[in-house]
Amino acid sequence: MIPGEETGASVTVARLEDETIIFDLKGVDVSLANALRRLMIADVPTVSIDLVEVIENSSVLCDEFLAHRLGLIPLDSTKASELVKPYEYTGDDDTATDVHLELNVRCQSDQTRDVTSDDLISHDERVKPVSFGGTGGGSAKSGGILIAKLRKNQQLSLKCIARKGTGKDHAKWSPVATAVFKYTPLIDINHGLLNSLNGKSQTRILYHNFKRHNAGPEKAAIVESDPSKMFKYDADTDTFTLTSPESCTYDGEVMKKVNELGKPGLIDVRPGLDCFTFIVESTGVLKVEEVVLQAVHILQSKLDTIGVSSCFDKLEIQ
Amino acid sequence: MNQPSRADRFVLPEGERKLSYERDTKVENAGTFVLQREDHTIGNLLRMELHKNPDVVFAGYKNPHPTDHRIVLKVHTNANTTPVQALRDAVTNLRAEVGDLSQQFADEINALRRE
Amino acid sequence: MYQEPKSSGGGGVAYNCGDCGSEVLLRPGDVIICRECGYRILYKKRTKQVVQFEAR
Repeated sequence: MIPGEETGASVTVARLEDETIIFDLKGVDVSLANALRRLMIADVPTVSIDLVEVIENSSVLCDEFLAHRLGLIPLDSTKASELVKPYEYTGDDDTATDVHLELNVRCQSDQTRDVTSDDLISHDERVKPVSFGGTGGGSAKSGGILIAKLRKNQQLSLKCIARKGTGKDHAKWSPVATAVFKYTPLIDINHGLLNSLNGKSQTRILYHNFKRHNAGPEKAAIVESDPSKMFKYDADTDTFTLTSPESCTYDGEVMKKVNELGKPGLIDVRPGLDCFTFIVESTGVLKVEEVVLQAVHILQSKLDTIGVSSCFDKLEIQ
Repeated sequence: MNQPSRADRFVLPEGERKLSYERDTKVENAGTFVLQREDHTIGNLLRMELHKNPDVVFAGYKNPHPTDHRIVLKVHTNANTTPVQALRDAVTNLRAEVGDLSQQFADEINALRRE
Repeated sequence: MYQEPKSSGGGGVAYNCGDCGSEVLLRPGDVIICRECGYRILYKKRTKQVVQFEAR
């Protein structure tokens, strides 16, 4: 550790919703931020359908197509810790690794029958398809995720085996829809220069007898020039404010505009090199904070397995 | 089919060491570590942590091939330390840092969820 | 070893006509034609075995 360099890591959660979390991670290296991102995508375990037995399929979709669709259906994985990954299990009790689900649908009416994730019946309390409660994608009628559509007398009868796994094995096990980070922007506004803009435009207003609402056209022009819409300008009160630094894309357009106006240094946008803003969205299989917490725990246990003294034992002799 | 077993990607084979080390035959205080069943997540993390150590002259890592589930980490240090000691320190520092982070995450989220 | 799917009645394999959908029993050497409508495309029936797939 370089003395004075390590100021200590810090975390601040900016927003926490059911499926979205936005947090700032300060005082760490990019490699740690990236490790965390990779862990959330590929190492946090969830449960997904892994095997499909087709007993009857008279739908227009082929068996392997249906099996693939079923694999991608999010299953509530909050109790994934009660299951064991098949490749980590050596016993012969199937209930430790497998969860059985069934899909039995026959279309009786003349109307097309939508088969959705709500038709999946779980035989295990631990794992159920994620319920979207009537809102969101899939079929408009039920709210579940559409798997297939059946015409009259077509039938689906399938047995599914769900297992625990990680996104490293297949993306269907990934608990996140989005897991990204970017450098948190450091945005400096030089208020002295900003005020000089103000004066300039006001003199011009007096000179040319501009209408009042045209006050500070240059400030408005700065706001206009920014494609990521970070700033707001209120002409009535003549206030120029930074409203959404999080939408910063480091496009450099604002700085270009400021230089054009002959005021270099009025606004400076640069990345804070040891500060990261994370945006993580869960697919619904786990609570989003659970994804983050588990990722950190997995990193801890990974480091612990390397860090234990037995790992370093007799290393030099070899 | 000649597809390798899926488990092979995650499970440390019987008798295989998680971490092994081979000294460089020509250079003093240099050597190669092999970390089995790890990827860029840990590889890059260890490399960057080793770079923070002023006694480390060189640290680099690679994943030899996407179907080889291991990380090769080459470390060269000056006479003040050895590659093994440097890696041990790196892991110790990282454990402390991640441990602290874990606590902070738990506190932040608990506080927000209680509201 | 691969076994020809046997129809329930025995003596021949059952197919479905591609046009009218009726069942056609064929024995080796038979002309491939639907006995109901004369359509010459016949489809093999789905296996009665349970088949398993990986959901990947």
